[in-house]
Amino acid sequence: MKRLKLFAAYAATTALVLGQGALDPAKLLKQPTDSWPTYNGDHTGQRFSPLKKINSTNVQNLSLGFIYRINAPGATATVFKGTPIVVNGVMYVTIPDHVWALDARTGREIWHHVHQSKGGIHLGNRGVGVYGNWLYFETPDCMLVSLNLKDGKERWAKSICDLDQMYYASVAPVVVKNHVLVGVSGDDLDIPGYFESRDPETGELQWHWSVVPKKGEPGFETWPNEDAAAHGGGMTWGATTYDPELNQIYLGTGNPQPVIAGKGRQGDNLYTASIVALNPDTGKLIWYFQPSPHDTHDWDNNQVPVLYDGVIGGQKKKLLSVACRNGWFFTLDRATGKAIVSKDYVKTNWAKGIDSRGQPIPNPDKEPQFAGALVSPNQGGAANWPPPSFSPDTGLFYVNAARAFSVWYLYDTDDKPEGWGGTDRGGWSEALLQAIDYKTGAIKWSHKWEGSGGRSGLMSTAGNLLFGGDTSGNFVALNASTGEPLWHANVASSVANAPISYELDGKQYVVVGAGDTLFGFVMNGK
Amino acid sequence: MRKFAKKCAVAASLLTFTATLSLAQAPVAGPAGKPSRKAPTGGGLLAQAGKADKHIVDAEAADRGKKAYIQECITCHGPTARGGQGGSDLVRSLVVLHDRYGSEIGPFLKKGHRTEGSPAAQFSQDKIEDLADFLHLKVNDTMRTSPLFRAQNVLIGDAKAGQAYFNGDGKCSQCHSSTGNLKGVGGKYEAIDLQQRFLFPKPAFGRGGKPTVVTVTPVTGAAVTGNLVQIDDFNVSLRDAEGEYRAWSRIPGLKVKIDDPYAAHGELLDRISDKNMHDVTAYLETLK
Repeated sequence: MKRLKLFAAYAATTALVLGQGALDPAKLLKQPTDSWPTYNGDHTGQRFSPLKKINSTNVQNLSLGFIYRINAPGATATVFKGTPIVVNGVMYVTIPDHVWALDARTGREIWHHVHQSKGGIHLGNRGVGVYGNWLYFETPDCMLVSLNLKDGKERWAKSICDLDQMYYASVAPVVVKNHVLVGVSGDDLDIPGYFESRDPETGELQWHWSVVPKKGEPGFETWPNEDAAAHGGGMTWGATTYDPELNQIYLGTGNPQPVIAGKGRQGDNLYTASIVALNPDTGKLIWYFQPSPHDTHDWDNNQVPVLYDGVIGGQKKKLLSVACRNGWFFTLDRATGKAIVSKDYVKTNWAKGIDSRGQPIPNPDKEPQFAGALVSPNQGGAANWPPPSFSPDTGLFYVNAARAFSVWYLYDTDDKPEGWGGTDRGGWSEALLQAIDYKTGAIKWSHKWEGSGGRSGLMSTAGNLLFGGDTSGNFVALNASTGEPLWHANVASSVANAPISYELDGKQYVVVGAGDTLFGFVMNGK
Repeated sequence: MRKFAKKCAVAASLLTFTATLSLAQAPVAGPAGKPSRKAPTGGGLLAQAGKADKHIVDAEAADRGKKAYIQECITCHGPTARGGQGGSDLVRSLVVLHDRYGSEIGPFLKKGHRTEGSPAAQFSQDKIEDLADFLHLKVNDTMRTSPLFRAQNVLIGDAKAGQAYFNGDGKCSQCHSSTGNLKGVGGKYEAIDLQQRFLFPKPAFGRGGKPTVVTVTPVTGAAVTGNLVQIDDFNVSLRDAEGEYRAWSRIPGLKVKIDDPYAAHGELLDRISDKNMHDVTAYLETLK
């Protein structure tokens, strides 16, 4: 009943006339079954599929249903780094400047849209957002583009950032009610991060939230002066999650700038490297929690804030968990932002302990030094953009993690460092798939991959399965309760995104991208 | 007259066609009326930052611009153009960032911006373009692709303490010696490379370096030892002493033993302090 009321409220704000291929907004409020309608599958960020036709007792029979290989002559970044979106039997996939609509049963191409780029870093594209009859995607040259779902024709393209300041855009827009939520990237110059809501009909700005507060606003006191704050970074390239009951959206913010040389920005540098809750209708800040105060290691906190209901101390709570790039796992009360669990999920060496709020206290000796400081994790982090998963069935939070060391050097000797001002070099790492108990942060099971690197996003299912990529170019299914590997397919490249699952005509599909190829797996019958 | 008009129209259309063609083939970059500039090669993904038509710095012009900057601007804007005595930070200036070869800086200066030498409103176009090159160079100096983006002196340790750690708690002398396999190493590498090599000797992506040795014991049959080729949860392969490629599925009962020649270095990372690290670097640097 509560869900019906919520949907009624949701639908009232959208007032959509839906075409045949359109997205029914009610699907965003349910676990995904016959679709995967938003980046994380639904607004919780759990990446949990309730489907169980494919399960731990029969997954060894999973086989290839289709492949789709990128055909984009001249494209410079031909790796699927986004999550496919599936709406009404059509799958939408991206690389920078390109969107394809594919038949979700066969992988056959329906249409292909190419954006004529004016530049920007073509690092990757995380996918599309869908609202009614339209989709939205960001481009490296700072545009938010809207297309018709049915034919891929462009409706409009709006600038959301300034290429001359070396911003770029790669985020999968998330649609909450009638808000298209967009974030931006850019770490080369010292520029302010922000997050915006755009009108789904017109692309016009609805609200703009500055990550770093201005003089007179709460949090400004964590910056030494206006100049440092105005150039303080905090990019918003992660995925947003949403609680319709609390009417709060949750996102992580990126590292402060200058990235490595923090001399000119003494203080905690709010609200960079933080988890924040915002009102989706106004963009007003509700609460924050900062996993990396005064970050100097490029540890963006843009990892997915995953929402679920759990039991803490015998009481049912609305919770949020995140496995951060800095190696720490947090469980928060998502109504208030109050920390319940603060614990590293791989061994780290940069924090002296935690403060009264549950935030790690950075050890200044482990900030980058001219002669070097040996720090774990490295710049890539213990986790990065590949999304984690949470299974309400097992109560476990899964993350493909790296335990890594590197030496951090300061390069910029100027009294006022600008740009990066240093970097880390070298490295040693091991790759671990960690299953974390959300109540304590304890590692319930850990699976060490042979080799290092090549981490991927994850998806758990009601079939007691956990899908993800290993470090050797395999797509793997593990027992979600124990971590035992049960099935694999050599997909010849690292899994560079996260798998999805959907059921059409009684068949459950599992789809994943690796390199320039998308693989669809099914239980093949007739 | 009509003939002339027709000729002009044909010429104009040819010019348009040529211009369109050249734009499609090779975008022209550089100040108007001057030889086009080529974007520097290399830099990979990071070099893509910014617009495709961003300002390409000419080193000679930037050098002339530096002289003009010292003459006109340095007192207020500082030696690195990052701001100074009342002058704003020009590296972070939107006028500079939006500029192409003086397109924004020129009109700004022509309004009569205060300068130290000649009045800004009277700057020649060449001087404006040179200043633009210098300021864009200062922006580029902060980028990760800048040649200035390099390590400073890492030799701050105590070589004697480093020697003691090498022979003691570091356990380095169990495999290495200053007169054996590390003889002359200090003269062979820069200090930062010595530091990197002793901490992280294993080449990235497993390419080169000492091979990892693996012994596979099948469910039936004799154990086979060789250099590891590939291993994951499902398969393992090696090249044996005769150079034969051997592979197995990791079925129940199959045993795999891995001997990583760099294991001690990985184990060291968890216990070495930054002081130990600097001391050992200083010690290795003395082995010349």
